[in-house]
Amino acid sequence: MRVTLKSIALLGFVFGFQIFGGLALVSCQKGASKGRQVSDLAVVKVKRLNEGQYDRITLTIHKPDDATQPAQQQEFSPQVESLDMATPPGRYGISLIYSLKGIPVYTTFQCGNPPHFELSAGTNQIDIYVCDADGKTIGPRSPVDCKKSDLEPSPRQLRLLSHLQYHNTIRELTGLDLNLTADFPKEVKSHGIVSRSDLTVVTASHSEAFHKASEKVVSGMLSQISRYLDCSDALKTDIRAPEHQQCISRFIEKFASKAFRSPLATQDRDQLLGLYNGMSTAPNSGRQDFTENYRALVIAILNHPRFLYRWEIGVTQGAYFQLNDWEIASHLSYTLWSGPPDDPLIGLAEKGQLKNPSVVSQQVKRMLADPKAKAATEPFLRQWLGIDGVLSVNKGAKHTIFSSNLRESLYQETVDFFNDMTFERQTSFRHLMSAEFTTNRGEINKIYNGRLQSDLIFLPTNERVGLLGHTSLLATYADAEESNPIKRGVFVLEKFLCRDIPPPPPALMVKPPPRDPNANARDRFAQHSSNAQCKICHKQIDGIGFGMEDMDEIGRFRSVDNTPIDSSGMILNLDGKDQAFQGTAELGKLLSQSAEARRCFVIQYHRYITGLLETQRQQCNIQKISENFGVEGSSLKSTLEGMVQDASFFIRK
Amino acid sequence: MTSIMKTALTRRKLLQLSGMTALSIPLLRTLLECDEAVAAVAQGSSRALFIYYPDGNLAPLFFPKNPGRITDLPSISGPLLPFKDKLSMVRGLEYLTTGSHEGGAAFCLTGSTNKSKLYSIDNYLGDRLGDGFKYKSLRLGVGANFQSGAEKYISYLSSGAIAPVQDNPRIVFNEFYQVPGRSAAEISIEQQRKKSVLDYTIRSLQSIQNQLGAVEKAKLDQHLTALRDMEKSLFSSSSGGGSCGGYLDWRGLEISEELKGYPNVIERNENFETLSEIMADIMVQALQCGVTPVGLLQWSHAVSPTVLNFQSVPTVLQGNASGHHDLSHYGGMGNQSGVEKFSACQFWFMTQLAKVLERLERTKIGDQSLLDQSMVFATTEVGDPDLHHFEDIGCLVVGGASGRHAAGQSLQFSKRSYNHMLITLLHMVGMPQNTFGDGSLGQGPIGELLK
Repeated sequence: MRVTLKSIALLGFVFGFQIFGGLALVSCQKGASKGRQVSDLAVVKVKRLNEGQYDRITLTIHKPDDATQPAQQQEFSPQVESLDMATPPGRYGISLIYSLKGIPVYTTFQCGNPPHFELSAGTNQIDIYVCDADGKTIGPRSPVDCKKSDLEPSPRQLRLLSHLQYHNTIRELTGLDLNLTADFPKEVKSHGIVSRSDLTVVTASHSEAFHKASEKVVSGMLSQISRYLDCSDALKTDIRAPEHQQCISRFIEKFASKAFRSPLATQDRDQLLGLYNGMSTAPNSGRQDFTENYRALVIAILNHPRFLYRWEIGVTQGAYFQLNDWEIASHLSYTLWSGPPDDPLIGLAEKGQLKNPSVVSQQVKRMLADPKAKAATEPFLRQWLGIDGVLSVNKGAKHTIFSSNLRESLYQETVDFFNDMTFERQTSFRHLMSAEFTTNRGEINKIYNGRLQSDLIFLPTNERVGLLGHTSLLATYADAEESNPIKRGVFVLEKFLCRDIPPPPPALMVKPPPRDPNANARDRFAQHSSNAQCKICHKQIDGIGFGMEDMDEIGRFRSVDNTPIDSSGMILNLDGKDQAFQGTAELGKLLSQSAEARRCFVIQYHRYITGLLETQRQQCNIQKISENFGVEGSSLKSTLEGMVQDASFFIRK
Repeated sequence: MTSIMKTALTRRKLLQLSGMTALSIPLLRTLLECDEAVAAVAQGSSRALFIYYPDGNLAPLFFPKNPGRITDLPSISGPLLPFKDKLSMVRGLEYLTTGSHEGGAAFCLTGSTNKSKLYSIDNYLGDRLGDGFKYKSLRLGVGANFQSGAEKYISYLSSGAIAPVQDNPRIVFNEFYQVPGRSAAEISIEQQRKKSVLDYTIRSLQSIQNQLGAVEKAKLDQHLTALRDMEKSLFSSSSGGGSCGGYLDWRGLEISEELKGYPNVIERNENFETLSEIMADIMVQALQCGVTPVGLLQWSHAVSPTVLNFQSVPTVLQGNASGHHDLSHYGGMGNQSGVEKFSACQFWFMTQLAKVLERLERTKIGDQSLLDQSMVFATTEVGDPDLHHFEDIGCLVVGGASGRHAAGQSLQFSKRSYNHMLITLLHMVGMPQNTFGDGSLGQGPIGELLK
C-alpha cells in the first residue's frame, strides 16, 4: 500500500520584522505520488515548496492521539528542500510547525485527508503547500518589497448593507426610525470581521426579511403620505390621467435616486413607473388603488440591488477602476457615519466634484465633526474588540454585581471613552492605551474603585490603564467563574497585535491533565503549557494571559486567587524583542508604545473600511497608511481622517 | 392521545391532538388544520429531520456497550430507550476533517472539507424534495445564532453560502400559520403584489448581472436563487403556501413583534428550554402539515455558550453558571465531577431529542406515525470535546424512513468514515447514491442500516 499525503499550511507572511496573521484553513492541491517499496519501514519524504522565510521547521510523526509521544521528530532549516524520516508502518499523526525567531508562526494542517495517516512500508511523500484563503496554492515567494509596490486595491464589489446601515439608510430616506433589522438573519462574524463582504450574500431568508421590512416602511409612509408626496390630490384621479402620472413620476425620480444613492437610469425610471401602472386592476378605483400600487412601488425600490448593496464598481481608468462620484459619496458616508450620503455630499456628487481630493478632504473634516461620526464608531469597536460580548457573556451567580444595567454601562463606557479620546481630546493611540482615567457611566466605579471627577474615573495607580483595562474586554475574555489566560492572550495577540493564532491542529492532540480545583488559574493553565508540543504555541499566548491575572473574571483588580497572584508576564517579539511585564497596567503601557500595536490599529480600521481581510499585497498599502497617518503622536482622529481618504480606497481592481 | 386524519387529501382536514407526553410536558393541546398541502406528504413520501446538538459527546456513556440489537442504553442516551426499536447507533464513525469545533461544524452535515463547496445534506435534500412546499427545507434554531460566528454554522446552500437558521419562533409562526381574520381576498392581493415586485426585482438583478459580467456573479446568482425560491414558495399551494392553522402553545413566552435589547428575549439563556419546546412543536407541525419535507433543528452551536441550569436539568447542573463549551472540557474520564456535569448536559439534550421523537411518534398520518415515515438524524460537531478529536461521532438515526431503515441496531466499527452515514441517510429517503460531499472520503452506504 502506498499513500500520498498532502498537507497545507496556514498562510502567514513576513513583512519587515513583523509577522502578519494567518488567514484561513483552506483546500490544497494534490501532491505527486512517487512511492516504491524500499524496506519494511515507512519512509516519509517531506518536500518543502514554500520559501525559506522561517528559521526553523519542525516535523513530528507521533502517535495518532498523543503528540506528547513522538515516534520521530526532526527539525530542519529553511534551506533544506526535503528530508526523509523512517518509522515503522502504522497509523500516525503528523505535525509541522514553522517558526520564526523561535516563535511558531503557524502549524500545518492536512486537508482532504484524514487527520491521521496510514503510513505504509516504502516511501510516503508529503508535499507541503502553503495556501491562501481562497485555496490557491502559493508558490515560493519573497516578502513584498513595498518600495516597488503599487497600490493594491480591493476588488470591485457589491456590499450588502449592514443592519445598522440599513436602519440608518431607511431613516435618512423616510424620516422613519423603525426597528426593522431585529428580524433579519444574524450578521455573522468571520475572522473578526462582521458581515465580511465576500461572504455575506442574500439567501431566501434575507429576501423574505427585506421584503417584510419594506412592507413596514411603506405602511409607515402611507400613514403620513403628504410628507412624501406634494401632489397627493392628483393621485385621486384616474391612474392614466396626466397629473397622476406626473405626480408619481416626480416621486419616483426623487425617492428612488435617493434610495439608490445614484442617479436614476431611464430604464429604472420607466420600469418603476410600469410596475406602478401595471399593478392597477381597476383603473378608476381611486385612492385605494393608489395605495396598493404605491405599496408595490416603494417595496420594489427598497428591494432593488441598488438599495440593498453598496456599489463599489467604478469605471475603467488605466489598470484600475476608479469609483464614481456617487460611490465615493457612499464610501465616505457609510465608513464615517454608517449611513447614506447627505444632501451636501449628493450635491457634490451631482456636480462631479468628489474626485477632487481637496473637496473630499473638506467633506471628511465636516463629516467627522458631525455627531453621526461618533455614533458610527460603535460598529467599529464591536468588530475590532468584540465589546458587545460584555452584554451577554456568562458570569457565575455569585457575581450579582454584574447586572444587565452594569453590563450596559460597561459597554457604553468603552464606546464613550473611545469617542472622547478620538473626537474631543483628539489624543493619540498611545493615550488611548495608557490613559489613567476612563469615562464614568452608571455604576461602573463599583468595578474600578477609582476617584470620581466630573465625567471621569481616575483609575487606581498600577492597576490598569487605557483601553486594555476596560471591563468590557476583561470580562468578555474570561470564563464564568475564573479568569482565562488563554482567552486573554489570544485576544491581545489577535486584536492589538493582529497576530492570528491558528487552532491546534488535530494531529497535535494531547490529553490535558485533569484540573486541580485548588490551584490558581495560572497553575491550572500552566499544566498544558508545560507540555512540549502545546508549549510551542502557548508560550506566546500564556505569557500575555498570565500577566493579566491581576484581573478577575469580571474585570476587578485582585491580588489573591486561592494563592497570591503572580502577574508576571511576557510578550514575545513585540517590536522585535521579548518584553517582560508585571500586570495588566504594564501590558497596557507596553502596547501603548508599540509600533506593532499602532499598526494593528490601522489594519483593524482597514478591515472595517473594506469589509475584507487585507491581502498580502495590501500590507504595502497599510504600511504606507501607517507611515502617513499612524505614526507615534498622530491623533486617532487624524488617523481615521487620513485613512478614509487614502487613494487606495478610491480605486478597485 | 388521539389522532384523526381523514384519508381524502384534497379536502381540508381537522386534526386534533391532545395528550400528555411521556416526558412530563404539561398538557399540550394542539389544534391543527391541514389542507391540500398534505397531499405532498402523503404516506410513503420522504421526510427528513436533522437535529444538531453542540460540543460532542462521551462515547462510552452514549453508545450501547455491545453491538447487536439495542436492549439497553447508557446514561447519556438513556432518554432514547423508549425508541430503541426505531433507533440505530453506530460507534466508530469519524470525520475526515481538521480544525477543531469549527472544522467539525462545517463538516457534520456536508461531508466535505472544501470550504468553497460546502453543501449540507439538509439543503441538498430540500432542493430535491422541496418543490411545491412553502420551504424547501425549514431551519429552526434555539440560540443557534447567539454568540456564534461564521465558522460555527452547519447548514450550507448549494451556492456554498451559509444557510441562515431561524431562532425566532414568532417569525416562523407569522410565515406559515394561518393568521385569523385575514380574508382570502386580502391574501390574494398581497400575493399578487409580492409577485409583481419579485418579477421586477428579478428583472433588475438580471439586468445588473448583464451589466457587471463576471463581477460579483456568484453573489448575484445567489440573490437570484433566493428571489426565485421566494417566488416558488408564494404559490406553493392553493392556499398560499402550506400552512398550519390554529394553535401554537407559546408556553408563556412573550415575543414581541420588535425584538429589543441584547441579549433579547430569544437570546436569553433562561428561555432556552421554553424555546426548545416551542421550536420542536413548530418543526413537527411543519413536517406534518406539509410546510416542508426537510427540517433542521439546531440547538445552540459549536463552542456553545448555553448555560444549562434550567428547571429540567439533572441535579448536578442545578445552579450551574458555566457555559456548555466550558463544561465540555471535562478534564478526562478520570475527572469524575467533570464527567458528571458534561454527561448531564448531553443527557439533557438527549431528553429534548426524545421529546421531539415523542411528538413525531404520536402524530399519525394514516395508520403510520410521522416518526415511521421520517428519517431523523442527530449529530454533533466533534468527537470527544476534551480532546477535540473527530472519532466516535455521537450521531444516531431514528425513524422508519418509510420502511427503509433497518432499525434497532447497535453497530460498532473501527474508524469508519462518517461520510458513509450521510450516504446512508440519502438511501433512507429514497436517493440511493454512492457518494455525498467529498466522494474521496468514502463511498457507499452502511448497508446494515438499510432494508
